[in-house]
Amino acid sequence: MIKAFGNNLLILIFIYSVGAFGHGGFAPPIDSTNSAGRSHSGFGNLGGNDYEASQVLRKTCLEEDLNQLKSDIELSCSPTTKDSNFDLSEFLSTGTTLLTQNKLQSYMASVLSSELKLLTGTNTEKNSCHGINPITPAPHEEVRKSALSVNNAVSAALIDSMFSGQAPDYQERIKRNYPYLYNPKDAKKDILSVVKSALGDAYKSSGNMFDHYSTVTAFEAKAIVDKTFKEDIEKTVKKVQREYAKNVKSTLDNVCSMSMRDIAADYPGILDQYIIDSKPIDRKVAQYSLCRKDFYYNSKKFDSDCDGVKDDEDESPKDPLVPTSEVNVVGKNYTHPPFTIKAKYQLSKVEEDVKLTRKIKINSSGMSEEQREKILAQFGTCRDLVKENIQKSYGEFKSTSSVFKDANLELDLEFEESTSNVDFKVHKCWCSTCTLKYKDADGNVRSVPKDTCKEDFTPEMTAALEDKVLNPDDSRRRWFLQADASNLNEGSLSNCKTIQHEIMHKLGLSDEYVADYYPFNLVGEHDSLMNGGNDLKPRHIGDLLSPKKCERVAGNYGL
Amino acid sequence: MGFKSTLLLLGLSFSSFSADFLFGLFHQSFLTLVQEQSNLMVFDDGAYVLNMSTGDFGICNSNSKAGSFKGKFSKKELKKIKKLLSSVDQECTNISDCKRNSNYEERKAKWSLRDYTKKNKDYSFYETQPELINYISQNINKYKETPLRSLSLKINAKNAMVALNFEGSETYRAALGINNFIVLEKDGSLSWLNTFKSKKSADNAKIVTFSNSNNKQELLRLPIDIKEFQKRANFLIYTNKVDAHHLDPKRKLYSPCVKVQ
Repeated sequence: MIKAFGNNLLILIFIYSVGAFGHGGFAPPIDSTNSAGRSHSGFGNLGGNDYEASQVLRKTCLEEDLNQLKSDIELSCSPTTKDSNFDLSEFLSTGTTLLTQNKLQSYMASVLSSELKLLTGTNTEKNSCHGINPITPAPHEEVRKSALSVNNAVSAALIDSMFSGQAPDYQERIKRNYPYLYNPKDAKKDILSVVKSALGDAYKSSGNMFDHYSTVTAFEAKAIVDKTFKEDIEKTVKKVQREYAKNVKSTLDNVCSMSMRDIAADYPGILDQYIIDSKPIDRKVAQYSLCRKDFYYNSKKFDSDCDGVKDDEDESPKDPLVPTSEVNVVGKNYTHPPFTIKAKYQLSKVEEDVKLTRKIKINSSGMSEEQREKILAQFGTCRDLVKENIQKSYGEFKSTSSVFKDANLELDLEFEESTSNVDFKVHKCWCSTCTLKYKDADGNVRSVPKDTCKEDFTPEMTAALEDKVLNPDDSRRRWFLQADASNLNEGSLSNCKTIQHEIMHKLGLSDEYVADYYPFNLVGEHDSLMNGGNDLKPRHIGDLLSPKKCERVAGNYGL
Repeated sequence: MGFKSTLLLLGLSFSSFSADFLFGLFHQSFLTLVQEQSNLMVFDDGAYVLNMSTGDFGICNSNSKAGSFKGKFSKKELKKIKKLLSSVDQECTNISDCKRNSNYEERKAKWSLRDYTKKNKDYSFYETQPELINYISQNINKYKETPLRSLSLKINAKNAMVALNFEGSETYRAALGINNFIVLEKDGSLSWLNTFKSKKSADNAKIVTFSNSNNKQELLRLPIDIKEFQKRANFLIYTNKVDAHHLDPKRKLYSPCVKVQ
């Protein structure tokens, strides 16, 4: 069937490429809610974004969206259908797959060529397939450059070994960013053994994330002061990368004949990146074929209801793309190194609606009744903003969900005074970064406690504000209010963004920004609340409403 | 492997750096817009490497240099530091909030000390620190003489220009635009400088590569009412924003600050 379809497809590729890359008016307008469509505007968006891509797929893999895609594709292809014997239904059933496969192969050839150049310093001849000009993988190159650096390789290998089996999502991201640590299998062991023998007692790997930070710091320091060690570790990492380069070369030799299913299973990061980098029409065509159940669904591998029984042996398997409506569960704890987040919340079904309940525990001991009331009122304002934000995003989420489309979401986020398992500590005064030294009555040098109010200073503390011997730097001789993530002042609640971000952690969402303890590329949209922005996204709501998760299976698209 | 090559390898290993780690000192502050991470790794021959994301233990020590530095303590200073290190364990016993072997969550916004000379000597301090930390804290600017990469800020209030200055033997890639600045306001809160913006300007940042030989300073005109800004602001802080992390292969964020006068 596909072979017979070949000539028509070549014509289509040509016409379709002109439309998608050259002239306006051919491709349908970009879906404004699709953030992947603007992922390369500006330098700040260079990072690959597997999360985004997976979620775009997930969102559009619902039956009704598939129909919408179909009509978009019909609309886009109409000039072609008029001028040829082009069979649209055949194109939708097999041509979309072939077209996406060819473009994906070409894109992958380009990615692998650039990666091989980074790994070996040499140019390769093959950087496209079937004469198709690939989309530039420049953003992918930036990600790879970062992932190939020695420091990041050590950091990632260490994390992987410290959290082996404990944080599958986190490890999966590292796997996608650092494929050379896993291919050949266990390549990272060589790297870690060199680091371990050089660092001695400074090598810590107990599973406490501070161990990761202190070990990476020790590694970097050792590499700065010890040239021999630096050369050793560089040599080892390069050796691992050279081994991986052989695999890349061999894949590159075969890439133009690889099936889309194989690429999806073995190189999910490249498929995701292709979807992000594609023009909107390419993305829609890709999604149409990727969303077909025969592509994404392997009943022998998939346990769609997470009951431990693979679907082909399960008497009542569920469609893995349809979210469950049986929400009557106690939330989740998750380990997202370095933080273990207690996200215990409850989801329950109230008739056709969904109710989410979470008690937020606040410790305001030490404050007067009047202050406590004031602070709770401020918390209430921030909580209401959280609710508003969640509801707004839920509206968008449910419009794409066949299961939740008629359900309302009730949010029960109440405050509770507590001194144990506290979510937030509230202080009358808190200066997170103040470091004012003073001499107590016995002459001992002490630091003024961070929760001291200036009006409660002892004479010795007040004297310290002028003491240039104890506090030689001007900036240390001062005292003001300054909150941090866990310790709040009355004043710090005037801007609710931080509180909203922290409350969403309590509901199980993880950070999406980059830090040295998150050594993978950017995750999530730039305006996401979990990435320093203000917005909650439908995918966040999907996370909240899908607290049951089972292990992912390669090739099943982050469902 | 022949005799000659064995000798060569022995020669190489004898000429290499062989000092063990003495201790690692860490300080972190998880603030609303800025994360501060500072650490000092010291070897038993006195060599050290210092990293200060904000230039201080905490945030905003006026005009202090943020970055990565290396150096070597004098014999006299090393002797003093070793003596202070040896008394930390006893001091910990006498400091009420000193904790041994804390977990990561407990380490937020405070000091951690890892003594590598003794197994499992790992301390955390909150309000009161041992003499070793006090000593290092007081002398910290002395340890910044040899920057590998360092950034500092300077404001010229007359023409509303801010200068980002670089020193060091390595290169540093960074973004520079209005969105790369944070303000520590006089009430202690942190906010983005772009919320102060009073004049129209594009927010697009440029990417700059600093190096010792080519580029040591970059200037940016601030699109703000400088008088209003001076009334409200205490410090101006530069940050190489988190989503620009690919710019620096080592993923280091430096956030120097300058007092607004």
